[in-house]
Amino acid sequence: MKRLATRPVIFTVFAILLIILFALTYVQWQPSTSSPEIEELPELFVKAAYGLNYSTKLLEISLTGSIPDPSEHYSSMLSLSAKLRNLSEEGILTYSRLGRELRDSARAYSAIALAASKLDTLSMEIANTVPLIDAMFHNLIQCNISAAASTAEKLEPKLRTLKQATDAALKALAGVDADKLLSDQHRAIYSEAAEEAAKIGHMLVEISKIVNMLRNVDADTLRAACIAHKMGNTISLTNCKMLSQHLLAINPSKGCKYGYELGLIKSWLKALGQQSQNGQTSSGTGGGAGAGQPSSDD
Amino acid sequence: MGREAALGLDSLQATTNGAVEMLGWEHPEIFLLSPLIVLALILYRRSKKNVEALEKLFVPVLRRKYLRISLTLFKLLFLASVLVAAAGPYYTYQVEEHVPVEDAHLLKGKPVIHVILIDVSKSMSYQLGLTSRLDAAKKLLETYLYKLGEKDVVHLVAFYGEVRPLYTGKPVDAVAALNKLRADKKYTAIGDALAYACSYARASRLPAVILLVSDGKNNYGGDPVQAAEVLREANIPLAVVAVGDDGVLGRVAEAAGGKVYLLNEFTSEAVLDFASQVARDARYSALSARGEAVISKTVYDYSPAVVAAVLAVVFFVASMVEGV
Repeated sequence: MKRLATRPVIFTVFAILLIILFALTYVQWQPSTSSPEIEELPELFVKAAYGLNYSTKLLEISLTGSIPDPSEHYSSMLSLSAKLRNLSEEGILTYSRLGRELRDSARAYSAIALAASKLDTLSMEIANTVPLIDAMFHNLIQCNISAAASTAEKLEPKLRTLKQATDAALKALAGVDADKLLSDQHRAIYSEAAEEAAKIGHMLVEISKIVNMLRNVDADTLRAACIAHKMGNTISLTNCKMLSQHLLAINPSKGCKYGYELGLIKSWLKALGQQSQNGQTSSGTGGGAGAGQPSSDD
Repeated sequence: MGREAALGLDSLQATTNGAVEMLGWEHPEIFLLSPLIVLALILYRRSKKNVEALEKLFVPVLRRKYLRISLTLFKLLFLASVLVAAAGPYYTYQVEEHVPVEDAHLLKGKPVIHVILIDVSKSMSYQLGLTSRLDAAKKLLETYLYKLGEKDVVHLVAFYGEVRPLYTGKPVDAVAALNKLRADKKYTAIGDALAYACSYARASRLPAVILLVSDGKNNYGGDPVQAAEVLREANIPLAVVAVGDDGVLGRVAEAAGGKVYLLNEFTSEAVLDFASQVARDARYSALSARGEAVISKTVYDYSPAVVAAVLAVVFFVASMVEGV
């Protein structure tokens, strides 16, 4: 009887082992939270640089309004940053010159990973806000001022959040000591990220100018200027000075994705008989020889 | 499923489903454990006699031979299902997904022919901001050319009273031909230029787009609006860059169902982003007109693994009728 009882037990244990094996193949092992070994450093450095590159691309794509969910990448970058920071604080890295150099590099790459996580947050915020920005510009260019103003109102708090996220990303990037990065490629990745974040910062400033214009300038004045520009007319409004100031402050070259739209809005200056920043008259003609509008090409 | 997400294409809408392409295993090494099933079977068979004796005493229903065989089979199938599920079977298939214009960068690998019509009549030499209209247009086009895909083909055509093809080939190499252009010719025949471009695009097997760059002072040749209507009928997209003022170009673009971009001293300040936008829209419209604004991707479907896991549970429960 004893022998009889053991066999089903063996069978059950065997089945359970198989089930455990099956389960294990689908379970993601959690990364170790313990301090990494020094041998891991090169791999971690590359991971950080790769992560920043990925975040930069994500930031570029975010201007289309849709990005892959960055939350996993965000967490992995945060965790990587913490790992590298912990390692840079380990005493073993202070015993030699090479050790101290590795410690400084670990700090730099920790900052890189942290910056990548900040860029991920920024990308997510931008992707969420782009549809509103698109709608505001679309309505404004179509002379639908009320709709544009209403969108601008919704946009304002989001722009504040975006500016904070941009500042955080730029601050994190500024915290990277580029001289301590171990390859030129990594330095190039860092420069590209900084450039992209700065571009976004400038773009937000320009969008804010439009939001301010919609808030501060009378809707009728805006509508009149927009329609006059569309019709190729010039208007003379008594209260267009403020509008001119707002339009002159717009810098399309800093508008990034919205450069063209900003240029179109700035073109309203023509309807107000104003001059562009380049000092050219609004009609597009200068004073030089041969600068007059042609009647024909004959 | 995980790989789908990794591609970052979840948001894209699937339009057509393809056939099953292949069956695969995520962890084929698991099958190395299959001898264990045989081992388990041997153990079970060796205990059979004792089990039968037990059945005779306590569980008379198991005297039925077919039930006993079934229970053996269930145990065997349970183990086999666990093994199969653990090996992670999946099948793959191709789906074509429509790409919205916002994701046009995903279509960069598809070739497009860009027929660029540039006005070199005298009126293009007049001032636009600090430069001439033609120079502003050249600057825009240069950036446009650099923004195109490597597989794209450019057909650069200068027009005035006549239509003169200048270059056909890779986008980047067109810059040299572009820089040689001078705005010193008589007349502007927009209609004739569009008619030429239409013939060229029609003869092309690749998706084509026509980019018209002009100040719109049409004064020669056929009616540009009529020529634009022909483009619409032929399903050939047109993008218009109106240099200075749009003149007749607004009506031309409207007739062709295209879009007008205004290049003036203000929009030219953002020439890089402006050109990128025109290039993106132009490529997209060409591909869209031919129904090629789609990307193909491989989908990994792990439902066979789920089915195997469910079967394993069913067989396990069924085999428990006998007791462990």
